[in-house]
Amino acid sequence: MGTNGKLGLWAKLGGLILLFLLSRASYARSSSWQITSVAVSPDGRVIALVASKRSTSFIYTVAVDTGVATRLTDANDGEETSPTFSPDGKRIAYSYEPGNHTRSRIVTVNVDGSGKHEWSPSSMTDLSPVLSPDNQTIVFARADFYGSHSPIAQPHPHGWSFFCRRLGWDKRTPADDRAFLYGIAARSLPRRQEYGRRNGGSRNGSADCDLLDNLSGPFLAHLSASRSGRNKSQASYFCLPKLPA
Amino acid sequence: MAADSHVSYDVYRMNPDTGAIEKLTNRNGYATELKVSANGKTAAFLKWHHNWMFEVTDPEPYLLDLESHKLTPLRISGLN
Repeated sequence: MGTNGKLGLWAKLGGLILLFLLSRASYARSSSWQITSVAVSPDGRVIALVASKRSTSFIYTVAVDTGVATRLTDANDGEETSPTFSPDGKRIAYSYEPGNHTRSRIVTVNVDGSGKHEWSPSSMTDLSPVLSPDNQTIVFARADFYGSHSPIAQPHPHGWSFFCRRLGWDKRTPADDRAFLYGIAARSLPRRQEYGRRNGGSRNGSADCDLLDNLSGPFLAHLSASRSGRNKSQASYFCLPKLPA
Repeated sequence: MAADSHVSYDVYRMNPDTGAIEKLTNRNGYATELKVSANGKTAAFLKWHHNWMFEVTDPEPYLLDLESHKLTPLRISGLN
């Protein structure tokens, strides 16, 4: 092997070592907290954020003027996701998937962490809650099928549905622990937009709810669901349902 | 939030009555999770960095004053 050949070999070896070191640095960074989601209080003074590390994620509230983060709950495992403030700014709703591999369920808690209410988990996955302007109703998405699927064999290829339930914070409005199916399977929702995406979304898809208008009582919500899988395109669905009064 | 041809996700505001669109940020890079406070004064979103492989990583929360258009990183302490 000539001098040039030896130099080339050393250059390749050096490149491999550099790649190894850089990949280690990248891995080390991924072991720190990553902020993956934010929500803003109605007055803009508090941010709720999701900080994730390895297989856990927890919600923190952050006072905008100080930047000091405070854990919202005392959960020590699992994943808290999708925080949203109630329109009166007093509560935060989110979804929580415990670390014991049970399904995600909807939780509401006061902004100071007190008064936590966790609905019994169903055999399905509940997520992405949003509260109505009068603070009395909560809408959330439910995955009635969660996993890989065959578009031919499954009647609901996407499997997302949308539910609402009365909350009953006070005695005048009794809580209704039934969840009313409001939307229907995402496949049948009025479809406003559909698009293909190459590497987007998680393997198991996602669903999101956002409050659109600011009316009292019945309100409009913007719901979307998406589903992606191996070699499948992802579709998003948008609808504007009006909740029962 | 919308992206230009350079995949810079910027924040826009549209007047629903007139359809007039106003660009509130400039060259955000990759940004996600835009949320607006109910009083309409503050927005928050995540700006992402790139690692050595040009993959997006390390999202950082930013606050946008919707009146002054001032963009401020939210420096956070106490994550543990």
